[in-house]
Amino acid sequence: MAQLDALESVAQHLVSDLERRFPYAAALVSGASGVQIGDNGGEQNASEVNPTRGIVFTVYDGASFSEYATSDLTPATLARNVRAWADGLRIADGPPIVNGGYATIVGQEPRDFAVAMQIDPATIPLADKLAMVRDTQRRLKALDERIVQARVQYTNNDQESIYIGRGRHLRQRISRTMLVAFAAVSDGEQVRYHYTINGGAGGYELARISDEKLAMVVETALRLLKAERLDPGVYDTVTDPSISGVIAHECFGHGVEMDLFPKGRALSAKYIDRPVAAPAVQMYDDPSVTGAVGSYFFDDEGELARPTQILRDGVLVRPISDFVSSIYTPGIHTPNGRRQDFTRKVFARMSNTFFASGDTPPADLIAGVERGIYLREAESGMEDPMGWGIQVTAHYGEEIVNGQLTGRLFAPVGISGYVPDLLQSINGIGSDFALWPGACGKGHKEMVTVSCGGPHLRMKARLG
Amino acid sequence: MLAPNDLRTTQSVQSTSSTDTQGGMDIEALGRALANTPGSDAWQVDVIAEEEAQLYLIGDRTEARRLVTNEQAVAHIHNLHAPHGGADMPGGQALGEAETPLLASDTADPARLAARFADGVTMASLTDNPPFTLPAAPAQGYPSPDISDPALLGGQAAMMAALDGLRARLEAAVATQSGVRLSSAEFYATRSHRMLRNSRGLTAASAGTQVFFDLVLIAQSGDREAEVHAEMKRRRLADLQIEGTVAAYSAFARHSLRAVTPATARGPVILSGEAVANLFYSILFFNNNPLLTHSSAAAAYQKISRFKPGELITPEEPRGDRLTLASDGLRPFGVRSAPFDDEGLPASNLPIIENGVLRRYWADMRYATYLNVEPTGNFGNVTVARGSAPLAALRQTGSAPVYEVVLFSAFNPDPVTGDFAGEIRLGYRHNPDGTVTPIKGGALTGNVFAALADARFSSDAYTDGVYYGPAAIRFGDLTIAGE
Repeated sequence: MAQLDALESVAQHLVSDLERRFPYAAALVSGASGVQIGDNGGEQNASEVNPTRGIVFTVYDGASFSEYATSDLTPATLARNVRAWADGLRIADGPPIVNGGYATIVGQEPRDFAVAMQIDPATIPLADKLAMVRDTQRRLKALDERIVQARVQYTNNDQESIYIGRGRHLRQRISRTMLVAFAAVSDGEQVRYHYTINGGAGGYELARISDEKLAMVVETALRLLKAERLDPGVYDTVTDPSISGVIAHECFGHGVEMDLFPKGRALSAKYIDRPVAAPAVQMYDDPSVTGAVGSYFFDDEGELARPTQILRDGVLVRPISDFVSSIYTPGIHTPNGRRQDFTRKVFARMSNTFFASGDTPPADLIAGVERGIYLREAESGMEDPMGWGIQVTAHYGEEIVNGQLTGRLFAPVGISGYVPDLLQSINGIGSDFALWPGACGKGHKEMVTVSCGGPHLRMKARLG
Repeated sequence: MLAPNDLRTTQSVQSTSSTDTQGGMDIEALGRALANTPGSDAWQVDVIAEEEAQLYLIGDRTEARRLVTNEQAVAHIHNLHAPHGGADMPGGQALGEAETPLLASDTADPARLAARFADGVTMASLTDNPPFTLPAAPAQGYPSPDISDPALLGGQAAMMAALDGLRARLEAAVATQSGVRLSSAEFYATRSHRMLRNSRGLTAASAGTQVFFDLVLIAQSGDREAEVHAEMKRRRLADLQIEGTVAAYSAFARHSLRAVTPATARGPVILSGEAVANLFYSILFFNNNPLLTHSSAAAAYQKISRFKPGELITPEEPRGDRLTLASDGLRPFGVRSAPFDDEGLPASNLPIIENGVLRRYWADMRYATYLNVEPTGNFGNVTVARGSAPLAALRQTGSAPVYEVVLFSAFNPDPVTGDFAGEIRLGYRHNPDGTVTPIKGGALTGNVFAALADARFSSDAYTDGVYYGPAAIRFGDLTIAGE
């Protein structure tokens, strides 16, 4: 703790020095701690999470941003190296910083934030965690003799960060706990699998998976042994919250990340205040959702978490931004500046992205489909912010005939198509709501923890 | 600080380049501390130090410059003990393992370091696995594949200057392309130094360079715009082939402007260039790919693999060319080339699949021991044998069109089932009348294992720095889910 205090003190002084020379300066200390445990019956593993601990100093020189990032947190070395780096920087002409870029109250008292937990994982002995994982694995494995692999993975990851700049001194501890149960089954010819995840921002109380959920994992994996490939075509489609969430994430999550605006990469820049979805559609990005895995108290640029409504009544009303991109038109700053870790740059990134619930029970959405597909369990998705194409892959889909699920499964099922066509076709919004945890990249890098979700939705989609 | 003098004191050290990325962690001191830790029955420690320069462009403006130094160590601690709960283990002993990542602050304080290692032993003592041994130093020493670019051997300022040179070439190359502008670009230059030591006396070190290039080009015609996005990783600056890359992706961007959504169709489909490389490894999580998963000893031990040594990897006898796939950790300037793998096993070039038949599982020490097979080390670069047909021959049509996919939005075949459904970011329909129509949208669906039973490989070559193989593969029967 004394070491951290010394580091913060040095960082404060360095930021103060830099703020006297540059229009914007800040420091972010970040790192992680925790454990991950795995058990597949034959093998067990336990390890500490990668700490990726380091500090990054940022300045805006009037034309561009410069950053110095290092894992060397020795205060004296840090001070020497940061001063040497800053000595090589010069003020330049360029677009002015807006949205509060200048320092205001240097030296303000630190504010601390932490995720509320019923049970702090740090208070649970490792042996007890291992026993919990082993018990879950054994309960899963015992469910059916066709299980060839039953695997359970527990992770507790405490991400800590300290932001100093713009008159702010903020500290947060984000504790995320996850328990994943995975079952692979075989009929001798092929292997299929299914899994379930329980977790979020919270403590050890989240490390539980019920017998009913484990049974559902095995039952679904066994049913998938008979899954077929779907004939390509446009189908009346009902999506579960995970699929709804990935649609939100890929369509108007990535599509409205404002760092793409000055690059001319986001078609959405031309659609602000224009309809892009069915009139009943509301969509948000909100890092302040209690307990959600993508939540935080402030972003990596010291902006306090708050919700951003992206779509209101089907109209695109507000993109999401980081501090850098807020300099450019339309000059909106939302708390979405995030970096993978100290070695990577900040970009405008999502947190928890979701459609708002409606008032139709999910069962009624299915009942309203004459012939269609109920898509379950998102696997992945990919954005296309300029072309507005979409790719979402569902682990499986189930046939709907005359408003009833027939039990006939198809796997995997991909959604493709044109984003406005898909969102304009939404004709039913469920009264339920759930968030699906995941990791999000920008292209194939810059991974950050996010969630996405919403209610069940009914739409027309091109499936294959 | 790890200076070249320290390197020369170690055994079996490979000086693969004259890079001098320096770190503050003393691997010998870490090794001594591990050896003195009660209960640390076997151990390995890695230290990786990196220096990086990053340059970000928006159009012709500099968005950001970043200098990054990062050093970290990981101790792998093994503890032998009686199995918990009377579990049945070979030899009556269980092996427990723990990974303890270390920061400079851990290693600078002997008391803190001892406490961290004691925690690691406690963690290891609680897990039960069948025992295996860490590798010993190879009698023949380590190979020395070229993995360093002399142009990146200076400090961070020199690396940044090299990136500015790439930027100038990029801007000049884009200026020669009609109707195309630079949206954004990112360049990273990295020098890394890795040291490894284990309780069996193995010591190894290597140094290498890497360069990353992220490129977005936008083509415009009237009100219509289309972008293409490329991400490239190489060992050398020269291998980015900036001018050729810009020319190729500019053509893709222009073609995207007039691309149409394909109709739903079933029949021959070619994957070429980046799209064919996507078939053989996962960009995000390398092994998370059907062929690499099923050919691994880990998947075999965990009863997930459908492959068996000596047997076909396809569900039926191949009708076209047969797949020959090797793990090559020695290829000069390959992104996955290195003198040794994560456990210190020497790099090699080994066929894994030959003529459509699994020759051997690729295996680390753990799973090699469990399956009683030879350890191969981590998978290196993916090398696929080329076929005999030139690309032009693969594109020949009959009475029906032949589709060719060159870019997917994301192509992630399920590593267990091999099924895939990937959105087409750009492709072409080769029409029977000889014309070619760009296509975009819709999804290609199929199964990797089934598709390889009816495939023809081009004689033309392609590489993305990890994949080295045919520039195109024509599959006899895949489905396009289109309009």
